[in-house]
Amino acid sequence: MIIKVFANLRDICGGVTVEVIPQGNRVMDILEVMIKRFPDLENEILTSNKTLKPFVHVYINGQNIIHADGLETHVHLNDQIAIFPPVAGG
Amino acid sequence: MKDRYSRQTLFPGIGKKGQEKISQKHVLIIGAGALGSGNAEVLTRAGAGKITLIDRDYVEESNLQRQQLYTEEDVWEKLPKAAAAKKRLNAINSDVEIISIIGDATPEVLEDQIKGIDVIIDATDNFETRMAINDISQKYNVPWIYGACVGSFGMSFTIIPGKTPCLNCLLRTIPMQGMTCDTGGIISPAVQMVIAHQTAEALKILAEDYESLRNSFVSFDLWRNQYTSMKMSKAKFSGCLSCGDNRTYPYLDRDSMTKTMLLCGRDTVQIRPPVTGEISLEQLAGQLSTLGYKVKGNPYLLSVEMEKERMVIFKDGRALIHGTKDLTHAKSIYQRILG
Repeated sequence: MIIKVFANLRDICGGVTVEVIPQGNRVMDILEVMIKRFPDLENEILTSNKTLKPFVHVYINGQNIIHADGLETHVHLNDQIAIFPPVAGG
Repeated sequence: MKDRYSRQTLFPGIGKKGQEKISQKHVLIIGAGALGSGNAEVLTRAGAGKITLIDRDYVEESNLQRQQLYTEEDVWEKLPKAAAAKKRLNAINSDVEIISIIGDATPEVLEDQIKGIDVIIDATDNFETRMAINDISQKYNVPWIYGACVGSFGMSFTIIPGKTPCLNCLLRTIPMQGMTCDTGGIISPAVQMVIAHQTAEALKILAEDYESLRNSFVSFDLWRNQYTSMKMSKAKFSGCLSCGDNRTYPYLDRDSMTKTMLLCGRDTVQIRPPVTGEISLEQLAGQLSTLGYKVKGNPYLLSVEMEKERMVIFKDGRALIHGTKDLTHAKSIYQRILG
């Protein structure tokens, strides 16, 4: 699966997309694979209780997972997944 | 000045009819920093009827690299941005009425200013004000154009009440710690790219060419040469408290706002964020020391030496700003660091 990452997450992941083969079909499974490859990502997006930090948003096909089952939300092979940290500057 | 808008009216998307419409419209720009000054200049040159500009800061030297309306003289005079912007905009186009408001864009101020507004442009540097703009937009059925940038990265989204999802659908909570230009740096081209996206959408709204509006969330990275557009139509959330069936406009409620209070007998302002959560002090300390701030910390708090003030940030997002009694100034320092 191709995951799009934005803003400073690109520095951590070394690019604008990350290709992963998750070990399951939940958002969390994808994040776990990504964190394994880019350990700095963990502190950036997850709290110590393994929940998404309140200022990080994951979208599946344009829908925020907070409106679905959060990190337990199921994903499909063709879904477009994007991880956004909020950008406040202006 | 018959020829003033000739090149713009030659453009088929606008034409003479569109120009006539633009000249009768009123734009509200929240913030007169980088995005605000650029948006205001473009729309002043384009001949909008009226522009109201709200900003609480004064011009500082570090603004000049990207905030296109300001000069060194404005820095020496420590002019409020709204005042300096009005002076420059009047000199650019005397046909446009510029109304400048020096102060915080609180829900009360937004309620006072919203009447007769055709589009709101977001040029703020924090999510709290954006959520208030989002609620006022839904309450009075006025479109608004979100824009933000940091580093070489920028994004924009046009929010049309009743049609597109709103910012609350997209985020649902106010992010505690957004990246700002004071923490992540910024290059001027990223600002200009966001301004271009915002003003193009604004001109479509002012010229009443709603068909041409972009319906996707656009983001780009000018250093990494990446352009992304995401459809957001599925993001509309019927339970949204800002635009859903049972809306309450929660961010127009005073209780949801950042609380500022002057601490008695001390030259200190306390700031309490509207939502509590844990911020990563370690990460923030790293970012701030890279930027040259003197930072000292322990597991409970972080002390940041600034030019005149000292800010102490607690894990729950609460902060004390020492060395000032000015609530608005203190809040501005706070949001500059914590977004």
